[in-house]
This record gives sequence, structure tokens and C-alpha cells, in this order.
Amino acid sequence: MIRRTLRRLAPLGLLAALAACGNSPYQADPFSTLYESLRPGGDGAPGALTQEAIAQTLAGAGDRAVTFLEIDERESQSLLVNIESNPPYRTYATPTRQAVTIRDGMIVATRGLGGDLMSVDEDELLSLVRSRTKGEAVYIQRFLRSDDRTVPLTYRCSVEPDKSIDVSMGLIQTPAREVVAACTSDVGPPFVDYYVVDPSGQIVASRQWLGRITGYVSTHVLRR
Amino acid sequence: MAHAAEFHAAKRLGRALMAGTGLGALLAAGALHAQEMPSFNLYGMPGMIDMPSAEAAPDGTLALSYGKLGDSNRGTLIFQITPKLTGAFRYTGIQDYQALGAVDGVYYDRSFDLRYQLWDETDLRPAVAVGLQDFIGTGVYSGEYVVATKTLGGNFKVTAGLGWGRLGTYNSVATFGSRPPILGANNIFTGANETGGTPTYDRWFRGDVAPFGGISWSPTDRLTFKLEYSSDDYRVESTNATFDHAAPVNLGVDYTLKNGTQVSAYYAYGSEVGLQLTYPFNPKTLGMPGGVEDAGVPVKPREPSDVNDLGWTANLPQRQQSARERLATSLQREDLEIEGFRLEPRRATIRLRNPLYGAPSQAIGRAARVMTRTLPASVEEFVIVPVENGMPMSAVVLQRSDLEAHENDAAVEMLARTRITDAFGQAPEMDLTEYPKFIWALEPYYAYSTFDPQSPLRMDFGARLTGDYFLTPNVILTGKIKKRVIGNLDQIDREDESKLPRVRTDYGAYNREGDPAIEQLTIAHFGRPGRNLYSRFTFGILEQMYAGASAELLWKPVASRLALGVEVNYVRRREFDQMLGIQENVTVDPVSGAELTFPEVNGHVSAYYDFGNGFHGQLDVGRYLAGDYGATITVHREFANGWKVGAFATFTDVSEEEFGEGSFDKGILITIPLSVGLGTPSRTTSTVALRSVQRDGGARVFVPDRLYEKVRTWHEPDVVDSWGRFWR
Repeated sequence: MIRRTLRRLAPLGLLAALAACGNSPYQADPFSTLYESLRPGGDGAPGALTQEAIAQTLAGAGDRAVTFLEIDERESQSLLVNIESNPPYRTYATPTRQAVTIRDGMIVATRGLGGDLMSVDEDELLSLVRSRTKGEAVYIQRFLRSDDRTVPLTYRCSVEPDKSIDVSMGLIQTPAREVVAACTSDVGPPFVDYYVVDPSGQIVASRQWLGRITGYVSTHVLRR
Repeated sequence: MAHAAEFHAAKRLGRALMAGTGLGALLAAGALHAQEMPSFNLYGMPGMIDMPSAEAAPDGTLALSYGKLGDSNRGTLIFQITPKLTGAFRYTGIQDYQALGAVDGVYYDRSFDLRYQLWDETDLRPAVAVGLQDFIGTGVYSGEYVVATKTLGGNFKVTAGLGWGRLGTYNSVATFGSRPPILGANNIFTGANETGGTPTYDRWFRGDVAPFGGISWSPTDRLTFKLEYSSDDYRVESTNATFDHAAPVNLGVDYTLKNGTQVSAYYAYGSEVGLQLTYPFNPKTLGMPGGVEDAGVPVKPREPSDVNDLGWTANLPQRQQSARERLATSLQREDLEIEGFRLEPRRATIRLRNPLYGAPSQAIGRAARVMTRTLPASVEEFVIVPVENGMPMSAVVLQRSDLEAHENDAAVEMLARTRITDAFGQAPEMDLTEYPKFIWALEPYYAYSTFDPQSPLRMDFGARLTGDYFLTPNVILTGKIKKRVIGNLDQIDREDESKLPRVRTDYGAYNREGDPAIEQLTIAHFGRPGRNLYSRFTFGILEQMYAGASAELLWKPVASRLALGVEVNYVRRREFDQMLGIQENVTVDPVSGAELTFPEVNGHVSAYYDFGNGFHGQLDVGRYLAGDYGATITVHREFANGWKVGAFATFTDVSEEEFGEGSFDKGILITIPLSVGLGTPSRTTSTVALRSVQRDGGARVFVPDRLYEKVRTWHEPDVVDSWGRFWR
């Protein structure tokens, strides 16, 4: 579903080739890609997750951490299941092999969404957000350009804690504090991130900017 | 759902904050500080209507344009070679043309332009550029200019310049020395020199000079109105075709569509209506950045307590076998293949075949992550040896603890801790369990012929059956056969006299008679004869017109920007039907009847250099197919995602008269990666070579699988260029 829009680029591939067959598993086959882009509903995944799907994933994932992810602009929702930990980072994946790496609830990388966030320098920002402290932080996001060069975007973020709320979602019930980070840069578009932080400093829900192509995503921890 | 309300609250808050600070509007504006795309003139160059300006397109821009003014049709491809240097290649057709050189009433011509921006614009100073228009060739558009452009308030731009040659023909104000005329008696166009194709430097900035200028106004981002005073009197078109130059003033409007295409309409010279379409794009930004392929697997960090556990080494051969199987399965999920494996207590080495990823670093990065998940914890050093046609290309040495520590850092952190060394003597034995192996494919193909005045573009579409039989990874039998389905390449009946053996100009006969055709039938051996050395030997049907044997040796140290190569070929001319037959190396000219023989042996020594920033150069010196001796210079600019734009020129001991039209062999090359259209990785690229004319001088045999491009892919400069994809 996430990739449905991206597949619209696929017909360009026809410039180079039309249809092909053979016994090599690596042969590029633009024809089938085009076909998929025409199929209504893209990957066949629903735009919005049902309660049943969420319950099934939570049950099927054993005791692994599960986070809800919505890409606002693409109106796509999916459940991320923790597949690996490299402390303090945890990598989550969707059933369609897209990955999101998260540190204490802050997204630090994505893979397979298109226009992926390759890496960030998050220490300063995360420290303010976790401690729910007002302050200024330098924050760097790195993206690939279409020619595979890395483009770092350096931001200055003003972090400000806001009101306290009670969170009750999925298997999480906790008091929490809202924290807002407004970030500007000479080279990248400005954005405002919103975090809901529990007393231990974990971000349990958020709205985060992942760059021009993905835009804002919302996250929601369902099971830690 | 319980949490839905929370989400909407988050969104509302985000939106409220954005609206409150006015950030929303800024976000919509998109790219900040991006250099804006200029207007393009009828010559396809940054400019006004028919006149140039001092502007440049953003670095790396390619723009295709088609402009029609009265009976003149101009198709142009421009490339912003560097931020200040713009190049153009143009194909022109002037209709209703009555004079010498017209075919069915149309005069066709090709032209090249170069423009250099001496100074870019500042708050006080205008941009200033100097340009050569149609500076190689017969010169119907030849002219030179110096021009300045300044942006004023209120979205106005003003341009003023001085033109020579064609751009100095209307109301000239001075004369700088003498310029050989391009118009003969009764103003009939005769051209700058007879065969065309050589730089007309004896004419540049000489003769009459005339001022030109104009103003443009862009009330919105999409819309531009233009008014210009032209210093071109269109004498060639007025005398030889039907142009009516009634006034020097031109009016125009540009509208930019959402995808960047500019649509322009003009009223020009008091009599003519013009229309133009321009599509600018940039290889740096075209296509989905980073692609949309699946994620690779994450690094699996080890438990510190396991790192020194060497208990498993008691049964090393068995552990090696089981690790190899797990690796092969996991790599297969990443579309990678293992072609050899050696396991030691602290080190693992793999021969890696990459059939898919255009960026070498991505293949290496994915393989390394798979290794963290499958190998015993005591294995600290990973040595990845990429192979091409069975040749170990380099040895990429990574420390497992670095992979664990820097998985979420900037990619350069890992690069700084990676060593790339020569693989000679380091690669594990080839694993031959799956050999011999047969791979086949049935694919569509296209072929083309350009710039024949009788039909400027001819194309064939059809099917190609390819089979590769790998006796071992480095001994390969290859066959390719093609069958046309639709096309008109068989209708080439142009027969120009050649004073040289017809080593290339019999292409009409090959296209007429060769359907179906065997395109290639070879056996090839690839090897590593020594440190920094790579070798290839190919025997069989090499290409459309030649069969024979070819041997190549390449010297390329793994960290070097320089490579040296030598290639010797023994060739025999194929029969026109392109089946298995060969003929004597004797050609008969259909016009003069001359019978000429050409030698079996040709070859070159080559130097390759990577200048950095994507600029590459190649110099080949040697004996060409027709037996002529000389050198080919190729330069190109390459983008790490596979786009290449370049030009080549060959100078041999054949005189301009012997060579014929064009005077010497030259052309431009454009390589387009398939991944741009797919959005997912692919090593497939498509190269278009646009030659102004195909003649027999300076011609080389096309040998499949020349070494340099494959070898440098895995060497340090190329791997570093795309390193951002290591963690992709």
C-alpha cells in the first residue's frame, strides 16, 4: 500500500524494455511492475487497518514489540513488528519487508518507503525530548538524492514540553507529557514534530517528519 | 479505536503549529535555494526567443527541445556539463529548401554549441556568457556571442549582447577582421567547408558584429512573457527557402507545466509563428531517491560473551559447509549469489556475484549484513570479494564490530573503516557445484539509425533470444539471435561513395539481408593473470559485421584513478545475411567500383582516467578497422546512479577528403539506467550513441564485455561514489 503511489513511476521503465522472459531470477521485468501499478488497490493491503488485523498481529507477534505507523499523505497504515535490536536501536518491519528503525520511540531510519531517511544525528534532540526539557538542539537528517549522493540536512530545533495527558492505547496505559520540537534549516523544509513521552522517557506516540517524500508519519506504540 | 483520537489530536496540533508560524506556506514552496530553470530559446539553449542569454541551467540538467519557426525545425539536446558550461547537439530540418544539399525539399543539418558563463549573477553584476553556436560543421547556424543578463525587481530580466556570424547579420555596427562567407554567388548557402564536421575556428568572432537584446517578465512561476530584438536577418532561409524577414522584433510566451515541460509560442520577424516544447530534467533528481526496493536485513549484534567462543572450530570443515548453505539461502533473498566461501576462526571470505544492484556499495552492504546474521560469533573480519564473469574484482574488508557499532550512523563512518584491496590471491576457490549452468532470456530489442536525410530516424523493434552457457564462472559460451518484428532499417538504400574500405558503410546491406541475424556467438575466458591485472579472450562472432578473436589485458590498481589497457583483434568480415559465413576482408564500393582490402589485425592501447566529480576520460591509440592509425578521445560525465553523458572524437591518418562527410568520426553518448524507470535496482543500462555520420575512418570493432567498466565498478573510486547506498 505504501508503495502504490511509487509504482506509478513504473511505466517509465517501458522506455527501456517491454516484456521479457527467461530463467534468470534477476531479469528486470518492467511489464509485471506496470501490471501491478494498474491493479486497483496496489498491493491489495487496506488503506486503514481494522481492529481485527491489529489484534491478529499482536497475537501473532508473540511478545515482540508492535508499533502502529501511519504515513499521513499516503493515507496508509501498517503495523511494525520488532525484528532486531542493536541497542539503543530497534528495527521494526512490515510484512512487505519495509523497515523502520526506532530509538526510544524516535524514528532514526526507514528502508523501502521511497525517499528513505537514511540516518540521523539525534542525540541532542532525543535527550531534550526524553527529559521533557525546554531547549535548543542540533538535529541532522540524511537522505539519498536520486544520483545516490547523500544529502545531509542540518536542523536547529526548539524543543518545548506541553501539557500532560493520560495515554491509553493498545497494551499501553501510562501518564505522559506532550513535547513539541519545531525545526528549521537553511537547506531543508521546516517541520514540527510532536511527541508523547512517558515518565521513563520513552516516546509512546508521535508525529514525525521523515523528509519531503514521506512527509509526516504518526506512530503509536501498541506493545513495548 | 481508542488511540485514533490521540492521533488526530497530534495531527491537529502539528497543523495548528505550522499554520501559526507560517511554516505551512514555506513547506509548500518546496526546494529552498534551488537554482531556477531558465527559459529556453528556439535553439534549445537557455535564452529568450531566437537569441541567447547569459543564463545557465542547474548543473547536470539535460533538456530536450523541439522548436518550429516558419519552415525551420530544430530538435536540440542540451547538457549542463558543469555549472558554467553548456553544450548542445542539434538536428535541423529546413523545409521548402531549394538550394544545394536538400533532400525532397528539406535541408538537414547537425550542429553543436558550447556556452561558457564567465561570471554568474550577483546583486550588482549581471551574468556574462560567451558562446559558440554551430561551431563544428557546415555552419548554417554558425555564430558567436557575448551576452549579459541581469534580473531586476518585479520579476523582470534584461539581456543584451553582441553577435558575430549569423548573429551579426542584421544592422551590424562594426566589423572585426574578415570572415569567410558561408553564402556563395546569389546568396546560395555553400557552407564553411566542403565536408563539414571540423571546428570553424578561422571564423570565430570575426566579421560583422551586431547588437541584440531583450526583456522577459514572469508574473507567476509558470508564465513568462518575452520581447526581443534579433540581430539575425535569416538570409540563408530567405534566399534558399521561404522565410520572410519583415521586422527584427520577436514576441513570445512560455508556460511551464507541472512536470517542468515548457510550452512556448512566438510571433517572430514580423511574419512567422513559432512553437516550442522543452523538457528539462536532471539525472541528479529524476526518479525515486534511494529507490523503493525492500529493506535489507538488519545487523545482528553478537553477545559479547560469544565473541571469543572458538569451540565451533573443532569441526571447521563441517561448519564451513553448513555456514555456506545458510549464507547462500540468506543472500538469495537479497538477490545476491555466493560463488565461493572460506571460513576461518576469525575471518570469513566470500566470492559475491551481484546480478541486481546498480550501486556496488548496496550489494556489499547487504551481503555484510547477511554475514552478521549467519556466521559464528568469533568471526570478526568479513572479506567480500565481488566477482564479474568469474574474475575477483576487489576484496572489501569489513570488521564485524564496526558493522554493529555504525549501523545507524552516517554511511561515511563505515566507509572510513572499510578497506578495499586487490583480490588477487585472496579469493576463495570457485565453487563449481552449480556448474555448468545455462541462463537464457527472450527479450525485446530495438535498433536505430539516425540522421539519414532520406529518413532521419529509422528503427527496428523485435525479439532477441540470448543464451549464456557457463562452463565455469569465467568460461562462457554466449549466443544471441534476433528477429525483427516491425521496423524500417531494411529500407536503408543510401549509398555514398567511400574512399576507404567499407568497414562500416555497408550497414545498409547488413540491415537488409540480416533478418533473422546471429548477433553474437562467442566463447570467452576471463582471468586474473597477476596483481592489478585482468584479462579477457573472446573468440567467435563478435558483432554484426565481424567475427574473429579478441584479446585484452587491463592494468588497474584497486585504489587508482588510472587504468591502462591493451587490446588486439583479429577480424574477418561476416556475410551480409549474418549467419555463420565469413567473407574476405575485401569491399567493393557501389559508386566508384573500387575494390579495397583491409587488414585482419587491429587494436589499441588505452588509458582511462577518473578525474573525480563524475568526470571520466579515455584515450585509445592504435590501428582501426580500415587500417588507419590514430586516436580516440572520449570524455563523459557520470552520475553515481548510472546516467552518463559524453562525447567522443576519433582522429586518424585518414584525410578529411578521404573520410568524406563529417571529416572525422565523432558523436555523443548517453547512458540511461533502467532503474530510473523501475524505481528498483537494476544493473541494466541502455546506451544511445548519436554519431553525426557513420563513415569508415576511425571505426572500431565492437567487442562484447570489454574489461574496464566492469572492473572499475568494484574499485575504490566507484564504490566510494555510491557509498550512500551501503546501508540501503
